[in-house]
Amino acid sequence: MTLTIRDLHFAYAGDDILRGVTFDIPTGCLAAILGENGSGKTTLLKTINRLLRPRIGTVLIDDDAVDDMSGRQIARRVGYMPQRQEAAHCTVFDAVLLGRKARDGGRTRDADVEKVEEVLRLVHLGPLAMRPTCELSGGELQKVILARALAQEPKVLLLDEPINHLDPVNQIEVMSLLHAVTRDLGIASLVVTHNLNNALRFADRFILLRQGRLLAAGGREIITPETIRDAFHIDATIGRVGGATVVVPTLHGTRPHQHLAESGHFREHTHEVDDHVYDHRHNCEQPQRD
Amino acid sequence: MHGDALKTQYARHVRRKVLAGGGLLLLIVAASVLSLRTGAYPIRFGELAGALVGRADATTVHVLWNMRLPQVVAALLAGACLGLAGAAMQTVLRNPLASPFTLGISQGAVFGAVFAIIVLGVGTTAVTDTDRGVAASPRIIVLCAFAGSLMTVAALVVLSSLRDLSPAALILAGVALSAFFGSATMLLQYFATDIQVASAVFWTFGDLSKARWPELGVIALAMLPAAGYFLCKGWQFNAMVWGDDTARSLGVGVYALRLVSLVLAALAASVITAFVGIIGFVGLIAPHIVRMVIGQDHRFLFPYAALAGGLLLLVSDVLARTVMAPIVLPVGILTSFAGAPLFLYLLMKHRDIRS
Repeated sequence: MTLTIRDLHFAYAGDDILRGVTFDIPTGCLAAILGENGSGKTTLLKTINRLLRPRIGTVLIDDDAVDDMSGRQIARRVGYMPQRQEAAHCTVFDAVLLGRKARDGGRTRDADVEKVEEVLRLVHLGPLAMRPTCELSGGELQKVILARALAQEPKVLLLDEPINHLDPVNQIEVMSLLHAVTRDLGIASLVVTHNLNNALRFADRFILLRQGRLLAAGGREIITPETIRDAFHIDATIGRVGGATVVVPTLHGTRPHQHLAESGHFREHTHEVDDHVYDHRHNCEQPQRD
Repeated sequence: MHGDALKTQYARHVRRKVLAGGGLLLLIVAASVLSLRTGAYPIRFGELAGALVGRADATTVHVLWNMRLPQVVAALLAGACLGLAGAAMQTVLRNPLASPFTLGISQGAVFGAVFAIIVLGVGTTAVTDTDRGVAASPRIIVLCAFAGSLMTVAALVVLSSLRDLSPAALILAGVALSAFFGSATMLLQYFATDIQVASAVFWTFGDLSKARWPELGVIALAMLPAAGYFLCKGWQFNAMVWGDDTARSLGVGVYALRLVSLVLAALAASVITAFVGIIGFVGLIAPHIVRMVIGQDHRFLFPYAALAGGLLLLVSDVLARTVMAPIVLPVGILTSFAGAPLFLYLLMKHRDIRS
């Protein structure tokens, strides 16, 4: 087991933000943390790599307590992608090299350069290596940040809304990349996202939070209309589109397919919907195909 | 194959930055030669080398070794201290407007000096027409100016540790401290005699000729810890550019880096203010110019900001001696005149500074 969280509590200004969260993430597993705004998702990530110090609770990485580690030791084990990251006036190569040199300093060795080459290749950014990060698109910048975290050679990867500001194509690219590196490099990855359908498509495990409490944790089977209602206070229908599981959220009292039924593209009971209907008529999250 | 190409590209990228430093050094050599020659007693180019090794007439050797050379070294050291301090403060506070001036450190020094001149009564006995009101006990004034700067630094450090102030809040605290020391200085001047006020005002003019060889030794010593620390921590400063959370997640001790950097930068800047008076804008502008050329790589930014600061001050000093010759202007006036429009230009031109 790579990442073990036990009874994590965090309070800020007298308010309990996390209330006894417990779960495990095995090696090679991509876990999505889901929950509405203010449910404690970002706080949970930050308590794992000690950007925030929990009041009570334990975080173990391969049975080693994070509490006993120095900042540099944590940086050797945990890669982190913050929620908002502005580009800096430096090249992609230097930004990624930072993943190794910030903690160690000193001269840049061949091994460092080779590692940067390797991770840039993994995220398909090799041709942009010498480009200033401030000239990149949002999707490219997110890949640079991911590459920097990978250059740390982490056992655990924490990503706070990595696809929040990206267009649908870049959302899929970044999540797909994340899924692949998690599996191929044997990392335990935790990703905070509001995109339920991308989470369902790419994540192996799900952690549902509500008001700082763990609502449910497990595989795809825990994503049901009931758990979604409890976590997000919305009604949702879960169906299959093109072989992929799709969550169609709606407001209370409105059936998700009501507008579509009127348009004649949606068949009740079967939940079979043409992709383009969702894409163009339903301004919510995109259905995904495997 | 692709890997090798990337390695070569990176090596070329680093080489380009090193070459930029070489260019800067050449400019400094050229400006130094110009500065050594320029003044009320002109020294011909051919005489320079001889005078440097003592093979020239006594007056030329005297002027070179006791007036021109100390002034060149003072410009380089003061500019380097201010450039280093400005670069470090701008990065650790993540604010392009951070500098010893905006954090109130210079104003603290002014208060200290004015306190020495007016309250302790030093520096008023020797005010005559010939020495233009230069203080008679500069050491006490310098010590008080230094103490004033340290008071500002201490206040910033205490405020930051007590209330865990954000970098933006620290800048505002600096503005408040500037206002406080400005008011305190005015209060002292209000109750002072005309001669004391004249002496105090003259002290505030940034003037490189105030520093002689012993003072330059002290300035160099004060610069050493800051320069050593900043040069060793280049990568950690690079991480700070991406924000506190990112830097911490990369293994950087953000709070310690910020605190130590502020104290060392403030020490270096306060020694400069104490010995040569207020020199505005060099600490603010030099790092920005370097960033525009080589980016935010602090392994190069720190040494180049130091060189650029020295170069700026050297050129300003030559101009100060020539624009109204035979009148020699205090260099601080010139840097402020030149620095303000240059900073506005940078502000308009560069989005990253504006935002």
